[in-house]
Amino acid sequence: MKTIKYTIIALSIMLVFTRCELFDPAMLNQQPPMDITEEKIFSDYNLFKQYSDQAYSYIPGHLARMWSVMVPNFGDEMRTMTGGYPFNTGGWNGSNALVAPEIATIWTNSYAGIRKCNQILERIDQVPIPTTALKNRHIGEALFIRAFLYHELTKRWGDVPYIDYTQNPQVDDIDIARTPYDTIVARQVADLDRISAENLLLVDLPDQDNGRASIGAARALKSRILLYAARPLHNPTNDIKKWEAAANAAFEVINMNKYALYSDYKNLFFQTTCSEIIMNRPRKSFNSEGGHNDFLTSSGGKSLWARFFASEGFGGWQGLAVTQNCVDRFEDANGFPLADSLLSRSVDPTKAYNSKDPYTNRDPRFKASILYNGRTFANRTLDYTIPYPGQAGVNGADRGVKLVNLFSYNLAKYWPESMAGRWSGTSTYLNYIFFRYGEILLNYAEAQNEVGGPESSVAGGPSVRQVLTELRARVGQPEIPVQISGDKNTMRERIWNEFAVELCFEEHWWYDVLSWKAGERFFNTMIYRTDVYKKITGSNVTLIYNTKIPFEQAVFKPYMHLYPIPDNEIFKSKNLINNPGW
Amino acid sequence: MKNIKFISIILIGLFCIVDMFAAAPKTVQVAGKVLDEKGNPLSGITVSLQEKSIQAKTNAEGLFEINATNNDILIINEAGYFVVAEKVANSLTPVLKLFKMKYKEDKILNWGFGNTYERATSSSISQIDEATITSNSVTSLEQAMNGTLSGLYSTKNGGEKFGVRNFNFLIRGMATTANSAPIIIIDNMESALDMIDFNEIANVTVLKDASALAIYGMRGANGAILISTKHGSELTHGFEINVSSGVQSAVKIADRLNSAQYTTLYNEALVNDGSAAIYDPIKYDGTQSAYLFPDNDLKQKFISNVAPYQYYNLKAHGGNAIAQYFVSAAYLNQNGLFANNAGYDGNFQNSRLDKFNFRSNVDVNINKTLRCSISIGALIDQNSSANYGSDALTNNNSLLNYIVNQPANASPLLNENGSLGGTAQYKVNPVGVFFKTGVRSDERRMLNSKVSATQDLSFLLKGLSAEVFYGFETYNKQYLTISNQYAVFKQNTDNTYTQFGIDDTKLLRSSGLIGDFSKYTQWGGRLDYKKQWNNNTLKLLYMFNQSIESVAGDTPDYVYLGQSVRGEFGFQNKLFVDATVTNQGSNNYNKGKRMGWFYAAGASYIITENSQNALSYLKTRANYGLLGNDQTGGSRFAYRQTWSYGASGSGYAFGSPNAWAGGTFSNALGNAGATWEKSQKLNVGVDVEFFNKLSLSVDYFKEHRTDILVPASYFPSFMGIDMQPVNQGIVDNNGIELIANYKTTIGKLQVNVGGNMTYAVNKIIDLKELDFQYPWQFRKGNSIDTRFGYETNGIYATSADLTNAPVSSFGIPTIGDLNYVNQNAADDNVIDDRDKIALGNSLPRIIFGFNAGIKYGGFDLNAQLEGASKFSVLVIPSTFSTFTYSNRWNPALGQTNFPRVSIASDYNTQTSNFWQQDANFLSVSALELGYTIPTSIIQKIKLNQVRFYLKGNNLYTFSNIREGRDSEALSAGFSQYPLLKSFVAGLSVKF
Repeated sequence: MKTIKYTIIALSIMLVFTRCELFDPAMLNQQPPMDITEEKIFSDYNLFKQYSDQAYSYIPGHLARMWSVMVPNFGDEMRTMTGGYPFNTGGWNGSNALVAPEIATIWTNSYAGIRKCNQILERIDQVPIPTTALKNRHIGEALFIRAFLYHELTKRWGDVPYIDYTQNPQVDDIDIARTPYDTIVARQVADLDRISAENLLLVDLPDQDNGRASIGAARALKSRILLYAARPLHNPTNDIKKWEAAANAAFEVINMNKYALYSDYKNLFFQTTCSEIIMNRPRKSFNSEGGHNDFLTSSGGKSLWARFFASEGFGGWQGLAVTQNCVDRFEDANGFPLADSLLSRSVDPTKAYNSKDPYTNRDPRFKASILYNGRTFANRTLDYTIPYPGQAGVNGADRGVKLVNLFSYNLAKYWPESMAGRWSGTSTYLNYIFFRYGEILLNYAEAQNEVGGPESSVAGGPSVRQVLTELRARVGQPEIPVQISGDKNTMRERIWNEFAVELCFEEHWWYDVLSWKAGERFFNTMIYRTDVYKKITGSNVTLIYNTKIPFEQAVFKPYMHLYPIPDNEIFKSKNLINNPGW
Repeated sequence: MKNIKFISIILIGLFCIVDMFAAAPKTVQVAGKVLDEKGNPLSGITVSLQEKSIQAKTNAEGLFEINATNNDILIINEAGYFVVAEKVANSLTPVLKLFKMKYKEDKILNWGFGNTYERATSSSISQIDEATITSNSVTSLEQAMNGTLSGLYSTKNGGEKFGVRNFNFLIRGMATTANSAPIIIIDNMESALDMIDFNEIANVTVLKDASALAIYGMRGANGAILISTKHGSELTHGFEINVSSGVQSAVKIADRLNSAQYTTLYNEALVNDGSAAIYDPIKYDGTQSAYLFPDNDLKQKFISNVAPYQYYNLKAHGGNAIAQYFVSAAYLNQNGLFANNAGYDGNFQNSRLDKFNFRSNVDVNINKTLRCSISIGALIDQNSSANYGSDALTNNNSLLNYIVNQPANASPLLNENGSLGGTAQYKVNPVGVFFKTGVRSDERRMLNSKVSATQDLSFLLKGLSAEVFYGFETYNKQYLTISNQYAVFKQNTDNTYTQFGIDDTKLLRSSGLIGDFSKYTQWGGRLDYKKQWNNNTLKLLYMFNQSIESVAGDTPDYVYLGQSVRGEFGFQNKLFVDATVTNQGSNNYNKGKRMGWFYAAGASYIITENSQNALSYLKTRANYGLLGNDQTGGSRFAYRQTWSYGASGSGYAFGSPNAWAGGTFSNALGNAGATWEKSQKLNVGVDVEFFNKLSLSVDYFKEHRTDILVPASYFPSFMGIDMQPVNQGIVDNNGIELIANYKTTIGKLQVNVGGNMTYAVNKIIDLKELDFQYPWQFRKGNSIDTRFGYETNGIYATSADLTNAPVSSFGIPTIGDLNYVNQNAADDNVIDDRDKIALGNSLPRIIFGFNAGIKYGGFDLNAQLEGASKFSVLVIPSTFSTFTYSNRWNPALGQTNFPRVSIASDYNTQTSNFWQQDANFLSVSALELGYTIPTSIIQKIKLNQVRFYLKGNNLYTFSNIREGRDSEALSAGFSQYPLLKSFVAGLSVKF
């Protein structure tokens, strides 16, 4: 009897286990909840707005996006203390991990943003958007960002696959060839013109929308796109019509009469908004040790700011320095390049360049952009000296003892004086500027000079010389001497130099030189650095400058004007042919 | 001393208990005889009393005498014979007849299906038992598994390092690019190895082939390690006390550079990098002030040669016909190798590990047909160290790294005025670290419990029984930090001091739970049917089980459920066939793809056995089946596309000043067909025995693994969206396994010698790689563990060598740099990823183990060796090491075999064949010498067995790795806590 009783108990236990929900195949249906689905995004305006706003983040808009180097390191403006960066040695290619942030990442990110814009444009009619104005804005932003991202692609690779629909790998042909450069430009211009024609974006942004695209930004982008299209790399026959289109596009922005040069060049970069900024990427304010950390997922910005910019004298790692090649492009106070110092001296010897005292009598933008020996910065006189050979002594604090700064120059442009050292300081804004009026003036000058020379202008516009004078007058630099800018060709030289000086370290120079097809001239060259000797004779201290010490032979081959498509992408697609030489 | 006192109290207490038993009334002396089935007397047979610890042995005439009371039950439980149990009756002389088992003396295997006879399986199985486990383990069970379990490869990287128990197991090599780790199952529940005390374990079994693994379904393909804890038995009974104590010392700790050497090397590196030298090495010759020019040997000052170790374990087991029990409690204490050898005052904070293990397994026969078991296992362990980092275990690595690699001239330990020395660059002072930073301690707690009930259903159908079980395990980890700060001072030339940091001895406490929290629940049941007729056997089994694991920060739970059916048929006890079908599912997959079918079938045939010929036993076996591995390395629920709401950085900000605008973006497109890896396994084997003494097993295995998760690399990036990885990789793995054992008795001398060897090689058939430019870039055709890197061609010795030397993506070479071979020299003059070729393999192709034991009288000696061969390691000496100092490129010193030193450049430290070395090794992993006091003496003090032993672990390794590094733990002793060798003396007492 007892046995049967226990058996019944045991069997019922088994029954409980097997029949009740403890052993329940439905448990396998568990999966994490999904707050966001594609259907929700396109049926809930709040979600859609977040989806749409995030598209801006695919535009390269961060000085520290490559962690320890900056775009100026690619060319001849800056170097790391150790040199040997693949972009400088000729060692870069489509599979090199060190250059991947500029090649593979840009390729992938741009297309990710483009996909998003395509999807927004395709599905926007399903979204319950409160007002027509907002709907227009979302369409305008998607068109603008797509055009911007295609420019980021074409300025690096030339022809790239132009995709304006959401690709579905199951249905669509995903092995497509590259679209010709001119076709892409036409599509970009059509999209940007549509923004203007249909007033999809605002001209004047309310304060809380600072950072969004505007009509002005769309026109500025168009100006840049058409200028690149007219330059030698993509205009081998020198088709003047392209230059005309570029000049007109720049004039469109000037003619809005909305933008003007900001009087304080040095502090322009720390303004949240100002008359000159056409579009920027708003950032939170930060202090020097905090760096860009507040608005970047990685700690890249933080290190770039606090450690790489700062010299040892400010407690930094001085990882990045400015080259002598860059310093030499800053004219003297007469407006002459250093090579023309004899000519300059004949104009006004007190304002000419003096190689024994190389930092006086220079374009004011030199002091605004670069830290050098003897300059006062943050209540300190910078000391980059080293003992004269044979004399006892120690290196100056900024030249460094442990981390010797071989170049004797550091970056000042993005470092306000109020921020004392690496460890402390007040806070500031450092918004990333996409377009500013100064660039538009240069775009106009370059294009119009090719159309009609230094004194020409588009109908109703200022002459080439006038806009350049306006730009230089802002910092107190005299106009370009006519002796060295009398015709189209000599003026072109000065305009290129003006691009180099006005926009130095602003991620322009490398791409400008590439599009001028002038890489071999500027980048296949010796990179120089400077030693400042402190010679002590009795109680006299003399500083001796040696500004022509070779640092590194930079290598640039003709095929490098266009980037290699990442190897992995080439391996994936039969129809995707790489640029020649790679 | 305290511990000894404690042990004595326990011992005295136990004696009292034993005395109580002994003082039971009406004791009579029983004399009896033991005969074999033909009536011949048997000598040396142990006769014991049920529920008591009284034993006797038969003499040459088969006679024995034992003190017993009426109704005591005499038990003989001798291997190879059926168990005998007979009640003592007054004035009778019991004659006990032993019946030999009809077949070859057979091992009972405990595995996933329950117990089975080894002869009846088609599988290749390795098992170690209590004796091997206890004789090879000092601190952990893993030590006993090295080299003793055929087919199991256990890299001991970190394994025998203090506090860090991080063995990695592989069974028969690797067959996937994803996770190759086997599942570890303790008493039918998934668990972790390092949570259990080795004295709790009855046996460890490694399952390797399809037939043995089929019930594990999608989790079985990598093999399984089964651990069974001990249970009580009505047949034996007793208490056991194990006490061991000893010392541990480092196998290897790197030598340090002195100040003169360090500064010389540093200057040279600076000059090589194009900077100016900054040190004056001559000043460190001892003639200058030691405060301004310090030369600290931190290794000598803060590392001890020996660290004490102690271990206590108490076990009790026994039972009667109604209930059986096994209980065990263990305490382990290990001290770190850090020590204050410099005589500084204060509280020195050494590292320390305290570990408590507890287990209770109770089985109760509620009636003749229903049996219940309740098992509980628990662990509390505590690791503590100087508060130098974020986690007590990794702190040990950081501390050792600091001691080995801190420059000798960094700062004086103490300044002239007695304050701690330091500089702006070196604000860490070793005296500060060990005396003034406070303490970090981490505690882990684990509780594991299981109940089960087995019902005999013979009244319904003879041979039918059912079992249900429910078990859970919870685990968490918490920390306590007591932190202080200290200031260091730099003595200036004018005898003033500059202070860095502040002194703060507030004993700031913080504590909390570390993210490691998990809960695991499993339940299931089974129905067994057994039938025997005319030497034929039929076994049928149905099992089901479900498990749910909750992991901190991971939603939802991991859910598995499955059912299996297995049938085994034995014909004439010679031919055996088995078949298993499993249907198992996981919640990780798409609807309709969550359940999978797995199966295996096997057969074995015993051709010869118990033969008097040289060939005394011969068995052949084979099995084949399909298994799965769901540890594919992909993200969970990969079948869906998900969207993310912007974490910082992926959104955008507008406004002036800006306001955060959240950003939503899509993640990778889902892989709708995401599934587990499929593994087809074939195993063919032969077991042979010669002269009943030498046994040999040979197995050939072959595995074909498909559906390995690989990146969906063929989708171009211009699609603008990532794809979840796809199940399209294929890898083959095959090899041979050999086991040999020899056992003999010559008079009083018993000898056993054994060895095992596994040869396994895997080959990538397809990983859906990109269509690379050059054939050497493909992993296809190589092994999973193939190392890719640059080929070198010596060192650039002259400027002529540098003419047209290729530049590289990591720098431009100069004299004294490695000459990397430009594989695609026809296409470019650049060294980059496209020039990397297959260099060697990092996983041993061959692993082997040897064991030998001799027993003579009361003495026993056991040795265990393990080794591996046919693999290589990458050894890159650090820039500031004694090796670099005496070998770096410096033609002036006649040193031209190694590259130049540099601080800034990593040109020479790329993965290349220059730094690759063959890594064969043979290691003496355990050695034990024991002495057992003769029974005749100890029985007088009412003990059953007293054994003393000396044991050594990880004693010596034969290998040729540069700098004397260990090929399995390259950083041990260099930048991580060293491997340890242990010397232990112990005492084991059984009542």
